[in-house]
Amino acid sequence: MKRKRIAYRPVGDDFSPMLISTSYDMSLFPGHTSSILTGTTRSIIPPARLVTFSTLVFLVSSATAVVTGILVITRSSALHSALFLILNFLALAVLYLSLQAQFIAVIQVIVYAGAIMVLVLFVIMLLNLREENHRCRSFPRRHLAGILLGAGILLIFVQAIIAASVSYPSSLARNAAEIGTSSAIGDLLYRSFVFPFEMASILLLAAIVGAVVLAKKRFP
Amino acid sequence: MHDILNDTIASAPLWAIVVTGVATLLVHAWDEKSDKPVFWIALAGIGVSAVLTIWRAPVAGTAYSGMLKTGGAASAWTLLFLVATLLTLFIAWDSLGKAAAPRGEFTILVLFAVAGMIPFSAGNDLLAVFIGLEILSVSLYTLVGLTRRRFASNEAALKYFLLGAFAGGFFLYGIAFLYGAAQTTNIEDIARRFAQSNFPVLFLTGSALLLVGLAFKTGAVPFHMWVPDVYQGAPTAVTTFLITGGKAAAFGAFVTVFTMTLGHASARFAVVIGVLALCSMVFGNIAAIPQTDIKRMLAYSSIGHAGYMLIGVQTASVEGAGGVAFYLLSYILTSTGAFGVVAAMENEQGEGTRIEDFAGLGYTKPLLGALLSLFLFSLIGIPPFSGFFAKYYIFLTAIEHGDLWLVLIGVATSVVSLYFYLRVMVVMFFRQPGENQPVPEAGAWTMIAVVLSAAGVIALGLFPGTVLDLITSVF
Amino acid sequence: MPEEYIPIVLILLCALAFGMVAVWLSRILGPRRDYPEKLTTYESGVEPVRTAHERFSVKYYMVAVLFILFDIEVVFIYPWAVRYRALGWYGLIEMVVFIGILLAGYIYILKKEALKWD
Repeated sequence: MKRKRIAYRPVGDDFSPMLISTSYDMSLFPGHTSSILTGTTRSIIPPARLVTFSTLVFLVSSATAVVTGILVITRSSALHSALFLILNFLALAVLYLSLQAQFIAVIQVIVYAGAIMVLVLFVIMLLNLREENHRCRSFPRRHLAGILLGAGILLIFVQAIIAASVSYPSSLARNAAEIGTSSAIGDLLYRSFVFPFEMASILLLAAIVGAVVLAKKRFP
Repeated sequence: MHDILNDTIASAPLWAIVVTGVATLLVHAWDEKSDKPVFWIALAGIGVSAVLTIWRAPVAGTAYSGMLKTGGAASAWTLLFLVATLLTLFIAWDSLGKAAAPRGEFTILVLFAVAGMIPFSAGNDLLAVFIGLEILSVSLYTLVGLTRRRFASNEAALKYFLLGAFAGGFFLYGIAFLYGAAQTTNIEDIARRFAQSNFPVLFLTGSALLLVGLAFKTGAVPFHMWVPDVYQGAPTAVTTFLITGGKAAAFGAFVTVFTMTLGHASARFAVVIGVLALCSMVFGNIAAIPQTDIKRMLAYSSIGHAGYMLIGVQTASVEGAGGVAFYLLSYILTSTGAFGVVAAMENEQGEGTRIEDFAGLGYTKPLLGALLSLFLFSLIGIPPFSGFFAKYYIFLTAIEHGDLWLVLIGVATSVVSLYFYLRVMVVMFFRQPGENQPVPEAGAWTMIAVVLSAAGVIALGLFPGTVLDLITSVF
Repeated sequence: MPEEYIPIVLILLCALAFGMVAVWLSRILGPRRDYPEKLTTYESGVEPVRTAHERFSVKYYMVAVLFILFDIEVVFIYPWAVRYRALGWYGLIEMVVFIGILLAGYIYILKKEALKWD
């Protein structure tokens, strides 16, 4: 039995149990930082609906997003980080859905949680990363500086969002239901945003050339 | 349908570059050895685009439902990019040939980068600006890592990519905040709502994030960490492109997005940009002193030059914008010239860029030595070369806006910069060449680029007023 | 509102439960007659000798990164397809230009033999 664990298995096998176990972990830290965020949305959602299903969805998915986000940057195994990142992306997709942004939510799952994470896992396998070296576990001073800086920026963002949601309460959520659908995005993207759309093909083309130049095995 | 045709004609310089880029890609795909046709097609495309730019210059307007500025100031920026690209291609032809790097891919990616620079600097909508930034960045990341077998090149590409992606994230976050505040991504509309807003916290946060993204691209302190490693590690031809086109695009976007359009924001951020300018001037010019590698030295000095240009940016005025464009033109010509000489000095492995490798260049290759001295004089800002007038106009504008403190520091750091620029000249003219030091052979295209640059530096020094008036008139 | 998505959540939960229950049931109900030969990893009859933590070749990366780029292209096509009739000829030309540019990239990939498995 032990031998079976070490030997090769399709990567997909290991995914789902991991995902489930982490979603249980989430309940250990409910509302870790989401309390700040709920403060911001309170004024957007009418007070009468505060403890409805949508609030619950928001609380669970945002708590998942925050906790998995922290786990992504604190795990010493790159593979674990990547798996938590998938969960983080899924939680974000749920958040997008609760904001009525259906198209973005689907794209988040298909492109980010799907395609891009496959690439990330490929790269991890390509680099043959093992557990990160335990030498740097002694919490260097620059980590502290980074945390302080990050906390400062978070504080500014949160303050800005709270201030904004107080000053114009309903404007941020206005028309949300109409602008999130694929057909609304299609109307915008192929009428007024034609230019960025066409330029996106140049961006993809540059990326194609870049991938071939940098990663092709034999290149002149 | 009719609109789209008009818009396409108005933005013809951009499409000329895009078509050239795709054409070179197809030609190169069909025949791997086809460096030469690719080179000529690229030159033709740049020429056509330049003609179209000049043709459209008198008609300032916007295209694609207000996404892109065309004509006017946009034309001025586009011409700067085209000049930088043309001279870079000349240098790259010899320099990359020597390093056996893929010249075809270099040309293709440089054209794509220009296709990104134009919307980056002339976007009238933050989404257009952002996609321009991304096209430019993706092309540059690849270009920096073009010499795959050199470790320094790989390291530079990875560093540039990681930090650049991070800075791009800041920029995108800023766009999100501004969209949240104004509910539009059109820069002019954002500026209007910003001015009307009596509670502009979201606007300020968004603008500050945009500022971080832009300052990173310009390489201003404290967002300069990538500059020395990337400029030193990249192949010299790519460094030339980064320091000329890359810098011009960053300042073009800075001026267009931040100073000219978000005027309300830049008035509030004038002090912040002033401090960035101060730090860049002081740090860049002091850190350049102990450098032993000329590419690294010029990289640090480019941080200092970014500082001088930021003085013009923080005045948030038409004169300031014109001054920055003039400075960029001068800086593009001077840097291409200097890096052309450096590229000629390099050997196949990219070695030979230490300052001591230049010992005796004034005797062994008097023309190269004299030209490099000319470019270094222009970088210091000694009359009658263009670099002097570039600094002069920027300082003059700043004094008129009451920013004497910045000008004083600018002058003081220019004096400091004398030391490390002159040191190269001392090595070139007063030091004997080493025993088995190879005598560099500058290729024909490199010499064309260097001589053209030198002519430009002198011409700008002779007729600075005419050129400045011409540039300022389109802003 | 999120309530609309409850059926989707239910389907997801069902799928998850089905997968887990199936694995669990087969472990419980299936007969277990283990012998060393049977416990070795199935590798198409090849003797498994190395660990699973093996380095992938850069070839996989090449395919994956090119896949993502064309995957993103498809993302752009989806909202276009939804609004295809409303956009008319104008929309068709836009998409032809977009795909045409990327087609040049595809030709480049093919000609450079970036997808060749050698």
